Amino acid sequence: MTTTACINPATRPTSVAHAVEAHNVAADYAGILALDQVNLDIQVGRFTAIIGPNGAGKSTLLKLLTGTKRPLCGYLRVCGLPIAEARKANAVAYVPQETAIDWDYPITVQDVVLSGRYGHSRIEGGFRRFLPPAFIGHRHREIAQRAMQAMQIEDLAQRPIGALSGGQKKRVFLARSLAQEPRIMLLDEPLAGVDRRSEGIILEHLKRFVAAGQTVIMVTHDLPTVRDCADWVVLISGTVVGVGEPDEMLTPEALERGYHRGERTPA
Amino acid sequence: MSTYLPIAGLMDFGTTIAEYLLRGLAFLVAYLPAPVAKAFEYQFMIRALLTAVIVGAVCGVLSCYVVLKRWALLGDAISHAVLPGVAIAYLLGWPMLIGAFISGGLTALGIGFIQQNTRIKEDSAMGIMFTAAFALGIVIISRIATSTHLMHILFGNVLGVSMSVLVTTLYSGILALLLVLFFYKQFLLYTFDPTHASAIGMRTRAIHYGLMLLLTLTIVTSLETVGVILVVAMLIIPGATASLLTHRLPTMMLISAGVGVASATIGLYTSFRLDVASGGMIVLVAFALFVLAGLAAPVGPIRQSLRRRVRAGHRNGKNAE
Repeated sequence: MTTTACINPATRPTSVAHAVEAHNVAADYAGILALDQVNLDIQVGRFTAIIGPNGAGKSTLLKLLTGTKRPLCGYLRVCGLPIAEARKANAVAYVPQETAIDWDYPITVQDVVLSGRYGHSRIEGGFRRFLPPAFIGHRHREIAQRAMQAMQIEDLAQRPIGALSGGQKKRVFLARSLAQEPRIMLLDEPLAGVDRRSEGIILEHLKRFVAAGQTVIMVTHDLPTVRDCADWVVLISGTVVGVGEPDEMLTPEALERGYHRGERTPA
Repeated sequence: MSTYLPIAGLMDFGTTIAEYLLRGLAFLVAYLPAPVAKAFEYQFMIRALLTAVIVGAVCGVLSCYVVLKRWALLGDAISHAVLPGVAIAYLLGWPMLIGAFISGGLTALGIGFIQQNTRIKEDSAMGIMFTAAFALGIVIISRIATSTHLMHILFGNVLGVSMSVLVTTLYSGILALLLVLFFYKQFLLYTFDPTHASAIGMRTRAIHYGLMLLLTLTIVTSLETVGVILVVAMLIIPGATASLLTHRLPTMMLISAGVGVASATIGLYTSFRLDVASGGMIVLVAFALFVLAGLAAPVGPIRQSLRRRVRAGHRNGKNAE
């Protein structure tokens, strides 16, 4: 079975071809459909950009993939697994939008990055998994440390997260995702409000992550970046309006189709 | 109301532990200045002190989550919602704390249910549920109990704490602290970034209700000390005070518990000396500590003006050169 490959991180997912499979998925907020009839296959190893107008359901799609929202109906698999199992297998990492976080929260950079390891420490044997993160294993600390080095934030380790610039904040959360060692990285507007240097560091590591055979799914409004970095574009407007290479999808005609459909009342 | 727990053995064990704690506390109090030590010579005062200290510590720790999750109104809601449970338990001859836990828990679940299944927002859902529950409690009590009983529930009666109440407080306090310890990671992620918690396989809905029930447990524990109306102060003020002073959650919990314990101790002593309501005095001391922390905090007015003066001093020094 392909599922065992996804649970055990030691065996590479040679047999799982799709990072995301969605057939006829719908999702609603109090009866109002945000997504309907979503059919989408994203292959493993793609740098995927999800674009579309405001209110098109981009963030809802991410919520479905992280399990914070349950679909109304349809078939949804991540790495060939149902969402609940993919979550337990630490397959999906999530980088939130800046507005989703309370920046006054009393937590340091290091503790945020270390929280990327909680999912792993929860499923290991021994009594330690029940204890607070101060007792987390040495191996987890090393992995978190390496993630901070990759994002060049190790000097900020003891800073409270509220005392960072926009770009540094994003790098902290990307470091948390790297520490999680996921199969798919979901990012909600990762480059909004980010300075040049941070943007460079973030994109470089996302590209490396994809080169290592993993999948990136990034919601963004930043079309030039999509053109430069993504190798797969999903255009969403209430449903999937178009899927393809950036060259086909970033044409004026294709964008017109996506960005105008949302303004019409749905049939 | 002599048996508070179904297992008599557990009760006896708790009584033994509580007696040791009382003896230890009496030993410590003897080292305080004479007028203070004199106030705590009475057995009922020592018992009240131990109860108040436990309640202060547990409320302090939990209040961090209340403040961080912006659940101040929820604390208020649950504390009012325990009233009908207390009244019904009194009718049936059940332990008061069990009735209180059940009705508080049901209200917490009801708020979550309304919020997730209707378009009513969280604050309105809380307002609806807790006023309805409180009203039910008032109606039942008006029918059955004497007004002194109602007063004790509303405003606490820490000086009249019996040994069995103390033991129950001790057990539920220990239970609450152990739960915070073992689910620290869950509660941390749930309050900080629930989406990440969900993405790594934590069951956020279970954590949500778990935290609500834990809050209910704490409120029920503190009923005897500060009463229904003022318990919410002990669930907000210590955490808010601590949040002014630190940027780390574990430190915040320690400071917050310290504020809880300090206000319980000082408040109890002051109320004894001035012969006023101890619940109210405890909350007033907590508020005084909050004001002090606000003034002395890194971003507070005292340190700000100090910094400004130091800066100005530097500049003047340079001008002189």
